[in-house]
Formats: sequence, structure tokens, C-alpha cells
Amino acid sequence: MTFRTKLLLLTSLTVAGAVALVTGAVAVSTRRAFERLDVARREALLEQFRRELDARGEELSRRVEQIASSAAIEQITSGAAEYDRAQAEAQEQSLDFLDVLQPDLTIISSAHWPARFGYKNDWNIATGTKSFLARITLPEGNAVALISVRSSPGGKALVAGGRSLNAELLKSLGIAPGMRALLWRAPDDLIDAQGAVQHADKLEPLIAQVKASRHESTATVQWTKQRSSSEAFLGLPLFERGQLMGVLLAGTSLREEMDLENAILWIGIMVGGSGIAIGILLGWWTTRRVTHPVEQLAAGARSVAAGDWSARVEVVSHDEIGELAQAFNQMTQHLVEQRDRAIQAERVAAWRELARRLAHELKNPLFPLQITIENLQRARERSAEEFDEVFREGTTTLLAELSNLKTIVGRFSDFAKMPAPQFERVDVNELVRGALKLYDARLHADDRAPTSLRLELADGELPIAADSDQLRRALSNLVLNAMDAMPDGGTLHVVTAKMDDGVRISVADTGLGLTPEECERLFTPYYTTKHHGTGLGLAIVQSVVSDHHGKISVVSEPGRGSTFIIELPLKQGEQI
Amino acid sequence: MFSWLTMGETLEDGARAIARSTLIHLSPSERPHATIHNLTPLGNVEVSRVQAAFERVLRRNVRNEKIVEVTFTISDNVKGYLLVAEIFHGDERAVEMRSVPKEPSVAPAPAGITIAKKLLWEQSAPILDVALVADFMLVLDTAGVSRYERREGAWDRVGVLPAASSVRDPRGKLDLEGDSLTVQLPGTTCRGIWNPTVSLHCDSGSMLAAGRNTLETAELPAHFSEARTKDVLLLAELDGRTHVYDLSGKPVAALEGWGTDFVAIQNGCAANRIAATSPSYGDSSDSIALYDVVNNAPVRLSDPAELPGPVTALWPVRDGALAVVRNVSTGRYEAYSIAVDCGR
Amino acid sequence: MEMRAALRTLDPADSDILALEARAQLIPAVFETLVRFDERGEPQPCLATSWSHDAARKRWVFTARPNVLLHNGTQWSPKGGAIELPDDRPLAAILRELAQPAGAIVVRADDGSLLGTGPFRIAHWEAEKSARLVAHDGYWAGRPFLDSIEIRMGRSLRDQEMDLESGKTDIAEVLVTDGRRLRQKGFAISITPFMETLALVFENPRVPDATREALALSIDRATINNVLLQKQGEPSAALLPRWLSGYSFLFPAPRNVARAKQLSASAAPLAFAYDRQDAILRPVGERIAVNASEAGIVLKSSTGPADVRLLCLPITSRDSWTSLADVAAMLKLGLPRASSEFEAESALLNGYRIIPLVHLPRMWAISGGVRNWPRLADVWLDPDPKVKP
Repeated sequence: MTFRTKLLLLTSLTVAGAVALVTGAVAVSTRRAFERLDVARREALLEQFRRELDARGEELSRRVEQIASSAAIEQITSGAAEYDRAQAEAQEQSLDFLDVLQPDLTIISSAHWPARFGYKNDWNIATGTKSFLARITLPEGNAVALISVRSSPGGKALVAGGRSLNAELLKSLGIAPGMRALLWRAPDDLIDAQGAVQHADKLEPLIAQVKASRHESTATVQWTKQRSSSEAFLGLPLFERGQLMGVLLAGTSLREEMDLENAILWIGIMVGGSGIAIGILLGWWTTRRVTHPVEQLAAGARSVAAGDWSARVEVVSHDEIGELAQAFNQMTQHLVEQRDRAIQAERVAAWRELARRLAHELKNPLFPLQITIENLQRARERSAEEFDEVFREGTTTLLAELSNLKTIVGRFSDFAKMPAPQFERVDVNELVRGALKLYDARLHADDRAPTSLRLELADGELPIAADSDQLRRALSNLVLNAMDAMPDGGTLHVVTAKMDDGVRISVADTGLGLTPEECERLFTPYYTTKHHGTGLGLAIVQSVVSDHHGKISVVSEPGRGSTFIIELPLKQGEQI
Repeated sequence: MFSWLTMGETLEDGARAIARSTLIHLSPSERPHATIHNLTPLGNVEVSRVQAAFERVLRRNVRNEKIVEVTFTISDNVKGYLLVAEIFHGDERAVEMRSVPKEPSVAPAPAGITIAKKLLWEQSAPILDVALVADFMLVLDTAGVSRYERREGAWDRVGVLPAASSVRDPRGKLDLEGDSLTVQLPGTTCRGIWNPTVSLHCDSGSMLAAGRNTLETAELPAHFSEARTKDVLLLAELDGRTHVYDLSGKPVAALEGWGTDFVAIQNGCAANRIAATSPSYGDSSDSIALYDVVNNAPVRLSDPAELPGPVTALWPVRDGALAVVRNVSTGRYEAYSIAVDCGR
Repeated sequence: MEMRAALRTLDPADSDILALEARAQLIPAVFETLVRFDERGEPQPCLATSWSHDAARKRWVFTARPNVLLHNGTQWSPKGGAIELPDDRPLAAILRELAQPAGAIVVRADDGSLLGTGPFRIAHWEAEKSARLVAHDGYWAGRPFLDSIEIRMGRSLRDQEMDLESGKTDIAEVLVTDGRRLRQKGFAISITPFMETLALVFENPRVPDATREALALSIDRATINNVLLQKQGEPSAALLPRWLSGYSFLFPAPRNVARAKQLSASAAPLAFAYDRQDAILRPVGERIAVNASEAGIVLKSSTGPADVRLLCLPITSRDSWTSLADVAAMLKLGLPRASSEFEAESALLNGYRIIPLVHLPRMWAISGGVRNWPRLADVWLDPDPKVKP
């Protein structure tokens, strides 16, 4: 993920988070305000309900008292009236229910269910002056009613009359807009001021909770798929002497609150969206100003890594980025200078080393040459016979040392004019096998301490683009070095392996090992730890490896042997 | 289990018969224990007699007896009495029934009381009433009053006074006192003399309701017949029943089983007794028998005298009654004098 | 006169089961049978004066009454003066059948009208609405007292009462529970013996036997009669009242709520139907529902098909067999073959498919001048009525 993307994201998240926080805070405090208002209104509604019930109870008691003291009751109790006489009395006093009872609560006449005469009244009647709620059984179901009971003069009969708790009662409550009152009377019997309520099943859980807990409970009901159809309810159980008669539900529509919350949410979204958009634009502009120079810097660094130490970054600002660009340019310039100096020094060192090596190499053959010639001079001065012998010995020695010198010069010449590699398809495994075969005899020579060869070649072929001669030569040098590092015998371990984008060849010995300093200087031409040799072997190996665009490294510890690792790419440019 | 009635069978006969049917349901080792119920207006005396007759037949001595409950019910229906016996064996119940006609003769008729009837006159036109005095006969029919004189064994018509009465089931009555004659027709009363000729003057008003076949007075409800004994007043009222009133006028019973025609016999051995027809309809033949009213229930005192057709009029006369019958075979109207022969 | 029933026709051949009572009252006034039941339910001669059979008792000859005129004045004279019936059944059964309205002598005139021999003829007939019967002057048993009878059909009880009060009708049908009230208003009340039976009839044959018995045991007939029917009826578990059969007490009507509860355990609710507009059936039905619920049976009111229905079954004849047969026909049941009425009635009541409750009389309020109601042929109007309560 780029810095710009990160910055844009960060900006967007910051803006969004801030807006969300603010929106949330506003919404929560709005909701709380609504809730407080709802609670107050519901309490007012419940209080009004209680007052209305009390008022109706008093009115009811008055009407029942009138019936109880009327002549009709005398007729009914004496049997002079028909069994359904109570109906007329109930109608006159606008009562929904009326039972005329004997003192033992046997029904003499019933207005709402005339056929029940002779049976016992089941309203749980307790004599007293106060009206009470009762559940009335009817032929076609149940009802909940406010009941009042009075005795007839002389106590010969009880008159129990009542009015239903129905839609008309709910309608008489003055209810604030957005609120309504419902009354649950029985399963499948839920009414409001207009009558039966549709989809009453949605209130079942709240009602069940009120019934189970026998306390007030609240719940929110969503009537349709739209959230604005939600309604918050407070359920109040209506008890009478420990028995639940019904549940009064005070409902407040949450439409206003939901609408407001929606508005707040939309505003938050719009503000957030705009903020994010603006943030993105600003961020993009800002990051462009920041990342472009950084990208330039990165490009420059990549160029430097690729070898172009002359890469420069344009300095367009005077801020930190500009300073960074300047510093980069200074660094690369410095690097270039240093590199040049290093190259120069290397060259000088290489020349010095070459001269030293040359001097060293040449010194050996030259000294015998000098001695021989001195010997010849002296022999000449002495006898002719001594001179002939010395001349013979001396010329032999001179020729041998001259041949040596030729070899040394030839090696230097070879190293100097190593040709550019000719790349072709080469199977590394086959090449390794071929190269090692040449040394097989030498490994098992009698004059060597026992040296074993362990060959671990990768499966199948390992085709790469390489110059087979040069590669063979490099490999031979490594093998020779390994053998030289094991004068007392050991194991020569050669491994080839396939890598993702190349092959790896490792040549390991179990010889003396190298110190870290020796490792460092190892590939320097003429550096050798051997007592013989020109020290060019590893330099040649490195040169070949370098021409193949590969890498060579060494892993070694004194006393534990060394492992030379060559890594070569599969392809060279466009070949293979 | 259901026995058809046998003509002339009494309740006691029926009780004995049903008791025999009940015994069929009992094994030899079972002894019945009877409980009696009475659902009819029969008095205690009559019920006791019937119960005795039932139990007498059921009585049996058995060894190792097993008691079987029997319920004996005296009931009645439109046809007459219905005697029902229920025999209970555990939860099982068997039922025997016997129907007894509703001309109860709880007490056997005293020996010798018979009804004698004697044909007085017959003609094709409906006769309303006939009065006989010596050799004279007055016949009231739908045409009027005809006066007949017996000459040489035959009756000659010597006069007629039209007194039209063209109603359904016409009725009329002749009352003679000396030479004076009163003719009661529906809505009209004619008074005058019958001897030496019939001469009448008619006014409106009569014990017979105008245009109707009922009797009406200020004190009594409309009725078809009335009979007064020393204890009771009987009225055949419009509901088809014979209502019994005590002397204070309070209704005490309603009888079924009589027709709408009956009269109280005024004199003679059957005084204070009632001569009544059997209930009939249409053209069935009537019979007439003598009854006593005991405990507000009729008790038949004589065998019924069969008549050749339905009685269309029945009026009390000295020592008896006058009955007019429409002969079902000939279609002519016959007037009979009805007399009670009390025998020895 | 007015009536609730709305008759399609007075044709005796029409089998309108629903208006049995009204037809039983009116048809004999117009169309007569060879044989007629008297007040005691005994067959008596009517258009046949006598009957006899051949030696093999396979053919009966009914001698026709002479001088019988049809309503159009022509003589009714069957060929040979007699009617032959090949029939080998017992005489009682033959006579019973001949006494049915379907056996009436009816002559269909060319214009489609019906001619009978009864005391009245049909002068006007508007099906289900109104009719006018006019006295048949040539009636063989004497012209009836009344000149004509105007009949208005399909009138509710309330309308009949109002018409009676306003003088538009002389006869109005009355509920047994209204008798006292109307007497207090000054009307004469004519009461028949018990001529109707309130009964519960199970229309659903799949209702379990135990449930039917439970319902029968739960009903408090005494209270229904004493309170709802003002003691005007006779509680009974028999189809025929005792005045007709004499044996109604053999069908006990015990109330055993505890036993009913046992039998009704886990009984399903029953659909219960009755005419809610009927001022007798409605309170009785409601009371039955209360009684049933005490025994654990739920009766749910139904306006359509029902498991059990409360009905008023008419007693159509003073002959027990005829009444039983008419009840069976009304309930679409076959009258069981039995040797006695008691056996036949027991078979009909077996299994509590029919639960008789109360026998009720028929009651009319009649204006002051009417006499001899309800025997139409003998009814007359007193011009100077002394109203007798």
C-alpha cells in the first residue's frame, strides 16, 4: 500500500470517525431526550386512566345503588318478575352487566346472560363500597369490567352491576398526539380506542413479560419493515385482589424520534461523505506534494542500487523533502567520488598486488637464474671440467626456471586476456560430472591421503545459459583449491541445486578452513593461502562468475573446512 | 308386551291381565314386590281396588325367594287407561302394557239397572224435540212445530208452525205445561198454546244461543249440555270436556270420556243420576248409559244401550230422557224415549 | 287468523314437512279423508261410512258416504259407490294411512284448482302469503257456522299480537310464555293439550355416544319448564306426551351432572344451532348451553351446519303412530319397525340421538267473540261476546 493510499485512508478514517462520533453523540442525546419525554407522557396517561376508572367507579356505584333500591328488585327477588327482568334494569341504567343475586351469590336474574339464573356468580365479589375489576364470563368469550355491588334494602338481595372496560373507555382518555392506549383483556383480545388491534401478536412478548413478572415492563415494537413504524410501549398490569384482570399498554410512536435520528444520520453521512471527499482531495494534493519527491528519491535510490551512482533527484521544495533530496544528491555524489577513489585505490592496490605477486613469482625463478649464472661465472674461472659440469647443471636449471617463468607469464597472460563468455545451453549437472571425472584419478592417487568425493546433484537436468569452458575452468579451480585445502584427506562435497531463478553449485571441503579475514581477501587476485600457486585461481573463478552475472561466496570456519557457493542465473539477457 | 284392549274390560280386569303378563318375566324362585303409582284422576278407592286386583295375581309363595321389584303405574291417554308394569332385574327392565277403555266401571254395575229405549217417532227431517201428551204428540223439527194426533194407531199431522232454523247442528226444545207451549230455538223463544191448535208468538232471546248449537245463560258459560244433580253441576263445555262444578259454582274436575250429550234424570229410581252418551264423532253409533258422579268421577251404573246412530239431541223428560238419533243406515231421524229400569 | 307458517300449498299430496302443524289444522277443513281420527285417536268413518274385507283379508272395500258434494257442487260418487283397496296389512295400519292428509279425496279441476269435500273451499290462495276459505254450503255434515276464514301466513308473533290488538285478526298464535301477559290484557287464550315437543337432535352422527349421553344427563328440564316456560310445559324425556301415549314416564329424565362430567371428559366442543329469533328456543338454547358447560361440554353457537340442534317437534295427530311417523319423517329418520308405539319410540330415542326436553301446548289468543276454536268446522263468532278469562 503506498504512502498516498495510507495517508488518504488515514484522512478518510479520521474524518469519518470524527463525524461518526459527533453524529452518535447527537443521536444518543436526542434519544435520551425523547425517552424522558415519553416516560413523562406515559406516566400522565396512566394517571389519567386511574382517575377515569375512579370516576367511572363512583358513577357506577350510584347507578347500582339506584337499581338496588328500586321496586324492580323487590319483584325479582319475590319471583313475581320474569327471570330476565334484570335486562330492563340494566338497559335503563346503561349497564353492560347486571346480576341480581341471593345473599349466597346464587343468580336470580342476569341481564347479560339470562340463562345463568340459579348458578353461582363467579366475579369474586367482596362486599364493600369500592368498585373493583372483575373478569366476566359470557356465552361467547370473556370481558373485563368495572363492577360495583350493593345490597337491596333488607339485605334480601345483592345487586352487582358493571360496565365493560372497552374501546369507549380508552376513547375517553385524553391522549397526546403520537400516543395511544391499548387494553389487553384476554388472549386474542387486544383493543384500542378504535376497537380490535391488528397484528396484536407483535405485542404478545411484552404482555407475556408483564404477566410473568407481574410488574410494569417496556418494549419497542416495530409494526412494519420500516423502522419509523416502531412504537415504544409500557405495559401496566391491572390487578384486582391478586388476580390479573388485564394489561394496560401505553404506546408512544417513535416515528418522530426515528425521523429525527434518520435526519441526523443522513446529515452525518453527508457531512462525513463530504469531509472524506474533501479529505481525499486535500490528501491527494498533499500527498502528491510529499510522495512525488519521495518517489523520486526512491527511484534515485533504485538507480543507485542498480549501479547508476550518478542518479540525481530534482529538488523542488525547500522543506524537509527538499532537504532530503539535497542530501540524497550529496550522498550519491559522495558515493560516486568515493567509488572513483575506491576504484582508483583498488586499481593501485591491484597493481601493487600484481607487482608484488609478480615480484614474488618472478623472484623465485630469478634467484636460481642468478645463482646459476654466478655459478657459471665462478666455474669458468675455475677449471674447464668444473665449468662443463656446472654449465650442464646450470643450463638445465636455467631452462627449468625459464620454463617456470614462462608458465607464470602465461598464467598472467591467460588471466589478462580471459575472453568474453560465449553463452550456450549448458546442463550444470553434466558439466559438474564431467569436470569431476577429470579429478577422479587425482583424488584416489597413491600419494594422497584418502579423499572421498560426495556428489549431490539435483534431479534431472539443470540447464542454464553459460560458457561451458569458463565454467568448467572455474569449477576445476574450486575443486583444486578444495583438494589443496585437504592435505591430510577428507571429503570433497559437491552439490548442485535448482533455485527459483538460477542454479547453485557448492564445493565444500573438510580441510583447514579460513578465517574471516582470509575470507574477505580471498577473491583478490594473487591472494592465496596456499604455499604454492599463483593465487589467481579464485580470481579467475570470480571473474567467470561475474561474467555470468552470478555471485560467489564462501562459508568457512577454521578447522572445519570451507564451502564455496556459486549462484548463477538461468538466463543471460535474452538467451535461453 | 302390549296388549290390546278387550271390549268391556274393566280396570280390574286389566290389572289382573297385566299381572299375569308380569309373572311371565319372573322365574319360579322370584317373588315380585310391587310399587303402585297413579297418574290419573282416579280416587284412592278405585286405585286401591285396581292395586288389589294386581297384587292378588302376583301373590305367590316361593322358597329361597329372590325379590324382584315391580312398578305398577295406572296411566291414561286419549284412548283410555294404560296400565304399565315395569319389571326390574338389576339394570334390566322389562315393560308390559295393557290398554283399558275409558268407560270405567270400577264398581260393577248394580244388578238389574238397564236402559230401555222405545222408538217414538221417525222422519227424514232432523227432529229437534218430541213431546208426548196422551194421544197427542208435538214434534219440533227444522221446519217447525208439528202437532200429531193418534188415530187408529197412526199419527196424523194436524198442524205445523214454521219456525225456521237453518243452522248447522240445529237444536230446539219443547216445554209443555198444560196447554201452554214454549218452544226454544236458537236465539228465539216462542210461547203460546198447543191445544187445540198450535199457536205461538215468538220473541228473540233463548237459552239456545242464536245461530249456534250451544246453551247459554247469564250465569253459566256456553255449553252443549248441562245436568244438575244434588251435588254437582255438569256442563259439556266448548273444549270438549265435561266440567264438574260444585254447588257454589267452583270448578272441581274436568272429565273425559263422555260425549257432549247428557241429562240428569229427575225422578224415579235413577234420580240424580246422569244419562250420558259415549263420545263419538261423525257417524259412529252412540250408546247411552246411566252414570253416577262419585268423587267427581263418573261411575257407570248400567250397561250401555246401543243406538243405531249418533245422538243429535238429548233432553230430560219425566223419569228419563228423550233421545233423537240419526240412523246411520237409513239416514232418517228417530226419536226414542229413554227410561231407566232399576230392576229388583 | 294469522300464522307464522308460510304454506306453499294446501294440496294434501304435497309433503311439506316443515309446516306439519299448520297443514294438520287446515287441510282437514278443506279436504276430507275416508277415515278420520276422533278426539281419542280412534279411526272413525268420514267419507267412508263403513268398510269390509274379502274372505282372504287382502282387499278392503270402503263404502262411500252418499250425498257428498264437491266444492263445485257436483256429486262425489266413486264408481260403484265404493272404493276398493287391495291391501293385506292389518286394518289399523290401513286406516291410519287413510286418515293421513295424503289420503284425502281431492279432485283436480281442469283449471288446476283443487276441489275437496270439506266444510270449506279455497276461494283464494296466494302461496306463503294469504288464503281465503269460504264455507261450503253443501257440506254433507251441515254448513259451517263461519262464512269465511281469512288466513294471513308468515306473520311473526309480534305482528300477530299487534294485529290482534288492533282487531285485524281474530286468532293469533301465542308463545306459551306470553299467555299470562295476554290474559292480563284481556284476551281469551285457547290452549291445546301438549302438542309440541322441544327436543335436541344430533345432526352429526359422528358425535360420540358418551357425549350425547353426557348432554342428556346435564340438562335441568325442571328449571327450564318452571322458569323459562313459566310451568306451561311438561318436562319429559319422551317424544310423545303422556296424554297421547300414556307411557311417557317410562323414559326417565334424570339429571346427573357428576356422571355427565365423567362421560364428557375430553369431549370436543359441539356446534349448537337453534332459531335465535324464536322467543322460546333462544332462552332454552342459552340455558342448555349453561347446563352443558357445567358438565364440561362446550356448545358453540352455530348459524350453519351443526352437530346438535334445538327444535320444536310437532305432535300432528291424536294417533301415536302417526305422530311418531311424522316426527321421524321430519328428522329424516325411518320409523323403526316395532310391534308397539312404545317400542318404536324407544328405538327412536335409543342412543340419545334425540333428547326430548319439554312438551308444550299450542296456544292462541282469540278475540272475544270466537267460540269452539280450534275445530274450524265448528268455530263460530259470538256477536255479543262476554269475554271469559
